[in-house]
Amino acid sequence: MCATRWILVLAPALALGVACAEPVAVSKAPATLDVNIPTLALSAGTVAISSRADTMPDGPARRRAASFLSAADGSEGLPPEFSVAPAIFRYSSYSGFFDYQGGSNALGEGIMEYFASHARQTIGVSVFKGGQQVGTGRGVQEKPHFLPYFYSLASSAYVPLGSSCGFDVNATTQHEAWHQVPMPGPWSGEWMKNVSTSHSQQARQPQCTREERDVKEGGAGGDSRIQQDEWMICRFEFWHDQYGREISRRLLYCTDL
Amino acid sequence: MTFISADPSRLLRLFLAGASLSLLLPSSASSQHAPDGRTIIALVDALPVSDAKAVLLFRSRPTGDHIILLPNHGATPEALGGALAMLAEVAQRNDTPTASAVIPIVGLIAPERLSASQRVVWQRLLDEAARQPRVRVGRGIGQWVEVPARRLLN
Repeated sequence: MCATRWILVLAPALALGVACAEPVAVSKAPATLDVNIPTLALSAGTVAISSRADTMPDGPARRRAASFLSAADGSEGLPPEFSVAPAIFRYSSYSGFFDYQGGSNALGEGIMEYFASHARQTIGVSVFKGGQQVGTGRGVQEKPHFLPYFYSLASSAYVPLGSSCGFDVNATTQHEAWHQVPMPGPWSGEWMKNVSTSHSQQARQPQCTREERDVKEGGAGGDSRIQQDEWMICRFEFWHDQYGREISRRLLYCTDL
Repeated sequence: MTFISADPSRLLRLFLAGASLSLLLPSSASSQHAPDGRTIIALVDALPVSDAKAVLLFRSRPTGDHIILLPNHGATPEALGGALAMLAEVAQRNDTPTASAVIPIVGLIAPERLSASQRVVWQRLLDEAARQPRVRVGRGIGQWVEVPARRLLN
């Protein structure tokens, strides 16, 4: 506790010119430190994600895909759709940026076309600034159907950013497709699962220019060098009340402070 | 002097008013964005969120302390400085006195104009924490020191 306050209490007139001179560290700490971290924080590492699932339209792509299908062993007694083994025909990852509600966002997208009852895409998004990786997150999206068929799945993960210059992003997607039979038997669980992985090219925002920094600082300056004058921090936020109940959360985002 | 020769009860009222005011005012101008309560740096064997460079516990339970968890191997002065900057920003924008936050910091870039002396202060804090005895920190083991955050935000 700074002694200045007590001086102020005893003699207000002496307060002028008296400065606190606290050391950097004010106490040694031999005691235990009581910390109760809510388990909700353990789900960090995720990014916001959304997806769109469709039935593949009948056409050349689907006919070409059908030619690669093979029979599923051990499917006796199941509906005929399960007699064809699950397969992933086309899969890829993309990365880029988009503006939304006045802010820039890094985007990772995974796309797959498959024949199966169930599919899942796990997208990893990596954010870089100045060639240095500053944030990674992953999002998982699963799409169940009752019966196997020709489907497509497009999943997008995004990371809010503090500025629309200087960031790079790339994405990696793990694509999975399998049959899942809603009855007990040798085919229960994720039966005959197919797994593939794709990587996007790195997408780059333009380098920050002097003008952009000047606008941010509120006027033109005399220094022509481009400088980072604020902390740029990638983080998650989990807010909770005094009982540990979640109030809100923000998934991975990277902004200047 | 007119002031001294005035009614003694008026002098007492002035004294009490000055005392009350001194308790309400922040103890320095730089504390305007400093969080209330203790700020603690803890070096721990394992962070609660893997891959984090630091984890800020804003108004942690049950004590209400602000705790910056750093790995006891590989903690950097920049990670500490970034967590302290984050703490100041959260304290400024939070307007719910009972709300707490867990903020894993997974990446950061320090300002280019950051002074060498500021890095030295943060490194000294880390060194000071590392000299403390190993004790129980939450459910793990670590070392900790208490820090007046306002002295670090100038």
